[in-house]
Order: sequence, then C-alpha cells, then structure tokens
Amino acid sequence: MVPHAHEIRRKTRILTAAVIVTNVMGNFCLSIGMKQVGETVSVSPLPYLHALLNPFVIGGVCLLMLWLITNLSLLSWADLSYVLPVTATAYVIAAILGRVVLDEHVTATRWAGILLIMAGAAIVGRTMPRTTPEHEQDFSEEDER
Amino acid sequence: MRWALVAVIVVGNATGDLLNTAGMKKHGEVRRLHPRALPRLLKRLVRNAYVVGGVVAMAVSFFALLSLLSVAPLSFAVPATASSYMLETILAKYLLGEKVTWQRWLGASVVACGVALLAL
Repeated sequence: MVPHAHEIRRKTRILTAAVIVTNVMGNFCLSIGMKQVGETVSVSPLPYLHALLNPFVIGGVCLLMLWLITNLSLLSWADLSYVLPVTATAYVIAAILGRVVLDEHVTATRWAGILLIMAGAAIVGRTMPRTTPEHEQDFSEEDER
Repeated sequence: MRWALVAVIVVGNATGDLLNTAGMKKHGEVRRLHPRALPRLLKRLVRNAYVVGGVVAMAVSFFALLSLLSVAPLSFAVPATASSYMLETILAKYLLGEKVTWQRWLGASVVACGVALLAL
C-alpha cells in the first residue's frame, strides 16, 4: 500500500472517535436540558427559543454542530458505506452512558443489540476507508478570497 | 401515518447522507482540522449546494422523527428506521460508486439488526 494509506487510517480513527463522542455527548446534554425545560411540543417557535436559554441545551446544540462538521470532514475522504456502520457505535456508548450515569436498566435484548453493533462496526472498520478515486486536483487548499 | 413518517425519515436520511458524501468528495479531503481553519471550512460548506441540500434533508428527517416519536413508541421508531443502514449501503454502491465488499454488507446488516434490537 502507498504510505498515504497508513496516514488515512490513523486520521480516520481519530475523526471517527470525534464524530462518536460529539454525537453522544450532544444528544446527552440536549436530553438533560430538555428535561429541565419541560415538555415542548408546539408549532410556535417561542418555546424552542426559550429552551435555548438552558445551558445544557446550548451545550448540546454546540456539540451537535461540532458533530456535523466532524462528520462532514470524515466524509470528505471516507466512504459512506464505511462511516455509517462504524459511527453506529454511538448507540453503544449512549446505552452504556445511560446505564452508568442515569442508572437505566439494560435488558438482555439490548445487550445483544450492543454486541451486534460492535461486531458490525469492527468488521467494517477493518476495510479501507476509501474505495473511490481521488480527484486529480485537490480543491481543499484553494479559495482564499 | 406511522409508515408515512418512517418513509420520510428513511428517505430524508438517505438523501442527506448521499448529498453530504457527494458534496464532501467534491470539496476534497479536509486536511486541517485546526479550530483556526474552521471559519474557512464553514464558509466553503455553506456555498456547497450538495452539503446545503444534505443538511436540509437531514433537518426534514429529524423533524419527521420528532413527529413519529409523538405518535409511536421508540420501540417502533428505531427498528423501523434501522433499515436505512441497508438502503444507504445499496445507494452508496450504485450512486456513489463505492466498492462495497462482503465485509461491508455483512457489517451493515449486523449493525442494522443490532440497532433494531436496542429498541425492542
């Protein structure tokens, strides 16, 4: 393999971890915040704006914005059919977080689901992140206007 | 009603992921993830029609999920939407030209089953 392949794998691993962590923590903060705010099901945008005053909601929204950026960056070189199964590990972390922090009960069926997701992510994680050709010209560093 | 919402969620997700992937491949590999490089990256992303379309599709899917959760339990919503793992793998192969090896098919199917089990 070209020397670039090793670097791509390393980069992919780091960014995948960032995608998973920002996703889980973002949703976690958002769910704590929204529980503090109380029920918000409305057509009017006002209750949602009010929810944005809660520090957990603000933190959650910021983390999810970071999630969007890291996920897009990961997709700038990695295949979608690689990213999707691998980042599904977020479900696993969320379930474990629920168990440890919120003391939620994890049923046997859910443990089975957790094992399957980890197995699936591990299988896909061993494939090369990128299978599509790179464009001859790399646009990523141009455009400084 | 439930299944109509599931369809919107799955189609929205797939459209969003496909457009985002296509848009980011067009954008080219992001090499610097330094916070100082972030404003420039954002500036280019909001001018990338694929990415803008992708984010809109994801937002539609998100609001459809919120609606679905208000009429159906999580144990219906999550397994029903787990099918998008398979759908998006198929689309990635045919529309994005990714080489989906048997490992990826196997992995995506196993993950989809796992996600479905999580909510049961």
